[in-house]
Amino acid sequence: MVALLVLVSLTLISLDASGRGRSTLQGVRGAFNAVLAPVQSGIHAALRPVGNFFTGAVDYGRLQAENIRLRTELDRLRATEATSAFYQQQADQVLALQHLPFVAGIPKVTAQIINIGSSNFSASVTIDRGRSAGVLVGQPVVAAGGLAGSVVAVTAHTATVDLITDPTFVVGVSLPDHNTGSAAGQGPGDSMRVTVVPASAPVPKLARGEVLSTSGLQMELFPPGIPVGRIATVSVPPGELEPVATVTPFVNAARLGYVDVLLWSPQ
Amino acid sequence: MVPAVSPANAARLRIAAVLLCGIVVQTTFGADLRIGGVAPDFMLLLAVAGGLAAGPGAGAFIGFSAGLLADLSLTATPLGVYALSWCLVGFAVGWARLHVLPEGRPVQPLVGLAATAGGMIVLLVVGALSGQGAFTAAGKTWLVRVGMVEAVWNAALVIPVTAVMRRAARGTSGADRLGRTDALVAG
Repeated sequence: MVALLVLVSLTLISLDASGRGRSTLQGVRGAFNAVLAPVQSGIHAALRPVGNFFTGAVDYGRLQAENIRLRTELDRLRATEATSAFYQQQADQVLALQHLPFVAGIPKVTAQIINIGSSNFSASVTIDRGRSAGVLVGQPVVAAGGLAGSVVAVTAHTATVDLITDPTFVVGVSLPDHNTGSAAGQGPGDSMRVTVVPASAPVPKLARGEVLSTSGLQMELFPPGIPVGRIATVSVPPGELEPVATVTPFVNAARLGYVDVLLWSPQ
Repeated sequence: MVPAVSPANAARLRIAAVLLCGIVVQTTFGADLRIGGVAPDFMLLLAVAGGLAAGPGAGAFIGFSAGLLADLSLTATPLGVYALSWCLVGFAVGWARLHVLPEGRPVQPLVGLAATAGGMIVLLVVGALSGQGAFTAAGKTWLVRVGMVEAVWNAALVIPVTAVMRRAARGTSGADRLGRTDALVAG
């Protein structure tokens, strides 16, 4: 009996990992999640106050400190609100002149997050828009602030989005001096790891606080210009020339409520 | 006329219902119960409870089913990684319960702690063998934290969950065998 179960498990792992039976297994997974999604949505809405109470009870100190920080940040943002409109106008003009594709010009579908993944080894959410709304696997997902992730599975009315902190998530980013790099998620947590892609250009000097955006190079999976995050730390590993940096994403995955799915495919 | 359901089949239906409740709670409520960023793993808890309540054979089957439901709800790892891992945990706990562990609730939290730690190691080994870097991507500190938080959750909940699983598994050969063994020891 146990040997049979082990054999079945190994067969499933082998089929899924090798890709031979992947489409069938993904179909089974999709059907399972399609059945589960309405149940999750209903129960989650009903039990959310209990979860919030629990989270508040164990994280009270951190939430209080965050509240103070957010109030300070709100004051600062109010002060800069007036000038941001001017800068936005300038940015729009520059982009129009350069004929650059921009997220604002890409059709999008707004979706609500109906479930947050509870795995400790991946970072994903379920949204309430699926194939019927034009959502497809591979499409980028953005939220207020920047890149949030990409669609990895779709059912008729829901989709699973891997967040940018997921260990399997990688995105190309633009670096100074015409260099490019890749930013990869590191599992649950807030940071991404950036590595420089070696090129003929001079090795870029990364600086703390620098903003990174998607590079959108040929065959890239994301359109260019989506803000990804801000460099938090920079170091050069011993014996290496290229620096390695950690990036704090602009999108706080833990606080997502609504996201936009960009109906965009690589050109 | 409704055909009679055998005790073993009735037990299977009850166990299936418990497992479905488990995956619904895990996927809807698990993320809200994070402590230090770590969510509890109720499907591992059900595998441990299955072993404690129904012995090695049924424990392995309950663990496999619990893991398979966890696999189906995830997209990042190949289907079968959790099924294999929790199957081995259910079998190991059931074997230990049959041959080594005494009957009684006081020992169950310790089993919950040890089985969670063991389950984490099994998951890492299975993940590594199937080429999954996701389990180790966040580093050793994160793994230790996940193991500790999950172990505390499972130790705290293993007594009531095992009681539920014992009622559900009543009628299976494994649960009945454990019951007879306990009665013999007590008598």
